Amino acid sequence: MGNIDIRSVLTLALIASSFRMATPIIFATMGGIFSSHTGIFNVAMEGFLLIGAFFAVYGSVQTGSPLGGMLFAIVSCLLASLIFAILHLELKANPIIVGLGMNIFAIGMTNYLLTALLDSTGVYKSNLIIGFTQIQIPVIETVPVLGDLVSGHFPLVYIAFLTVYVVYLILYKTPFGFHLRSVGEKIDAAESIGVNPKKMKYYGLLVSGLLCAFGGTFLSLSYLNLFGEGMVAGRGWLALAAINFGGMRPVPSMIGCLIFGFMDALAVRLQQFGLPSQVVLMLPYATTIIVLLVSAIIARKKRMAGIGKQDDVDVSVATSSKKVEV
Amino acid sequence: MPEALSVKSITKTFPNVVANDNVSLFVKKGTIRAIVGENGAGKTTLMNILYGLYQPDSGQIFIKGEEVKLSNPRDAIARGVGMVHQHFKLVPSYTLAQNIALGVEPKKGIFVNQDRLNQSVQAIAQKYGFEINEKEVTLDVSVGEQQRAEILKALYRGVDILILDEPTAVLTDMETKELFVMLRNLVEQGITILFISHKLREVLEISDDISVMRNGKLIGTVNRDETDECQLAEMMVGRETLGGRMRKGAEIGDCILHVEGLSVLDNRDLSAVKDVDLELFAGEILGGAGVDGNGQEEFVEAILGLRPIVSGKIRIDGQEIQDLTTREIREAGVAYIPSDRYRSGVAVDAVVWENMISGEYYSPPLSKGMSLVLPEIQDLSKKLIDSFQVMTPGPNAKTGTLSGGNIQRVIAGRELGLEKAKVVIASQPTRGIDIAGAEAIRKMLINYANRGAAVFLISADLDEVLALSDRIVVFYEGKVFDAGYYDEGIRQRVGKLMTSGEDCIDEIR
Repeated sequence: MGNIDIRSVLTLALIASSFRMATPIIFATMGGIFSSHTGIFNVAMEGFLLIGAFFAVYGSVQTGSPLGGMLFAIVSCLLASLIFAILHLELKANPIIVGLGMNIFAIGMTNYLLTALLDSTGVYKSNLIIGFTQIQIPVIETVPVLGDLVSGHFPLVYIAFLTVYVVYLILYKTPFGFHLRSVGEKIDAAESIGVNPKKMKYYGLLVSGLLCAFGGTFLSLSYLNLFGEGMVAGRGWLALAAINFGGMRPVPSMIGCLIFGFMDALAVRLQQFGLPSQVVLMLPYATTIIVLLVSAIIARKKRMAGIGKQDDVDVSVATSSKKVEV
Repeated sequence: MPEALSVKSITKTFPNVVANDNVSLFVKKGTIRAIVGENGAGKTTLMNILYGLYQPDSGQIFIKGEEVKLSNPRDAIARGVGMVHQHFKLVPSYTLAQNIALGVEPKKGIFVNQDRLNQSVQAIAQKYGFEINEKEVTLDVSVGEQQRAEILKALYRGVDILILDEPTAVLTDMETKELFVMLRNLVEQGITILFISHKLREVLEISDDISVMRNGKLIGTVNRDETDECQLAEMMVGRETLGGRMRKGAEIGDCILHVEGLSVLDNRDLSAVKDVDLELFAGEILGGAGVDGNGQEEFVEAILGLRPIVSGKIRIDGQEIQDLTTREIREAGVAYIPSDRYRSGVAVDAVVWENMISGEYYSPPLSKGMSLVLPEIQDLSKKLIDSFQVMTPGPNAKTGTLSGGNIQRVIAGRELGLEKAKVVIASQPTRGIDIAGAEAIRKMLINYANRGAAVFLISADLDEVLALSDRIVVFYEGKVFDAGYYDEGIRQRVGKLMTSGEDCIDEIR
């Protein structure tokens, strides 16, 4: 066990597979960032990913095309997030409770549909599932190092990184993004300029559903070509950790995803070297705890440094709201 | 001079309250009009009507001579009326420019044109003579600069009538001076300003005309040059004969609570209580009048050991208590009825009997060793529910389900029921509760004082203070001024102290 050569572990292939491992987490994270900025902490992404993964497989079998599968995933995840939105925004249910409920519902529903629609239990694996194929980028694939890292991924991997940029542009560069973020950060300000907070919250939840559909599709039609009931394996929760790590900003959160992706890839790699799998598979989750701890400590330090200023703002609100006049 | 805005016979009622009673007002273009009055006089309601937040029950609104219906703030802004609220509506993480232009951003394709946004904000700021670092993040700038951004937010939308709701309440003296310079600039450019305040000194400094409101009515409008603080104060508090006096002759004993040189900071680390001396005698009810936010809360919290003190001594019967814990202070004989009964008064999710014993549960006979003596507790809480007339299904009802008045009775039962306290500090004890409940609480305080305890009643409700107190002090900008013993002239004395503090004090003496 002590004689693993570090160079045989840290290969280019490992980095490339980190990108792959990070992809579903990136999708969920970007979706979660959207809803977080409208003030909703979306804990249902684990369930959305599972629903997306299942319907991608089912759609692929039905239509014979991975794009058809993805379309199924998108529709089902949008529906699931719409249900979430209605329960929370119209019927005023607590979003954490609804989210947890959605997760349990997703497990039960996919399990049931696995039997009802695909006549399987636990796992569905079949030649009928048509997945995506990897893209070899001409010219770049022949460049040493760069070709190993950048070429030969599934299309959704590229789309994931593109999504990070698009989400960044929408949230930080468009009027819509400014209005959306004002809802989560200071709802009074949003209302004072005529933004409808509820509408923004709908957008936030629907976008998180949409992007979880992408993530789920990646899991069952790219990363693997099958559906298994435990295949999401906490990635929806890791996404929440990544959002927290990145302070709801797209690029820093993506870096969080890459750290998790790397740990995932490393875990798989280390298993090949005969390390006990129980220990190795713990890596991504142990990392999560460490990452959250470190980011909490950093955030705390920042808070302490800026405490005077922040207090000024808060207190002015607190003291002025104390005064009630008819 | 052309009119900017006028209202005719505006009436607005809320359940049980006539907030605006047949109010008429005429404001000339390019002037600063102050609207003054005590809390609850109806100033803010009137302004909210002008900004489209409330609709009047009856009456007309004219803007620039044209009759208008304002059903929401967007209507008001479209007509050129903007309002800066007391608490700002700015997104902390955005730059000032982004906040100012939020909702009306200049665009480049689908994106915000950040350069043009900054330029247009800077242009507006320069036009009106505002100094602003438009690229600074809102969170990082002073309250004064945030307020400037709020004003610019309205001006950016082309507003030419600006309503400012107590704009100086959150500012330092320096910032207030700067604000006034800016307001003068605005007026010179043809902007009309309505300025809500109850600080008469400021009002006289900045406004052209001053309208005074009391109890929902517009008492009158005077020109700045033809009035003074004392006339305004009289208009604000009125001359009505004293009615509803509940307090009859007191037997005043020795000094029980002695506060000497007390200074305390507020949550912003600014000085909230400034070198205050106070004596409270056995058997008396001392009224603490004053507009909210003049240091009352901080003063009370300091006495209770809930807030660290900067300097000073607090003695109960000669024993220094300023370094003791809150429990030790309570054991020394201080009872406390806090102003926020839901947050500090009771645990709303706990049941009635739990709240009733929460000051005493740890000592015999309510507890023995590590366990509570439930039969004793049940007896006591039943007794207290009876004697304080708490309307509750029983001692096991959840406290939060009771009405405000009944929650206050639970607190009174806990604080006064065991008759141990020598000093009772009641902060806004009847705020927001029904008339019967308020009467009951007032009677309890009187009874308690009659038994020889010292009662300090702090209330922004001047009528209540006047009805109950033997002697009155006034909180003004962190200082405490003695308005003396109750007599016929006390209402005027208190009124002046409340609105202008020491400036008037020589005249009073």
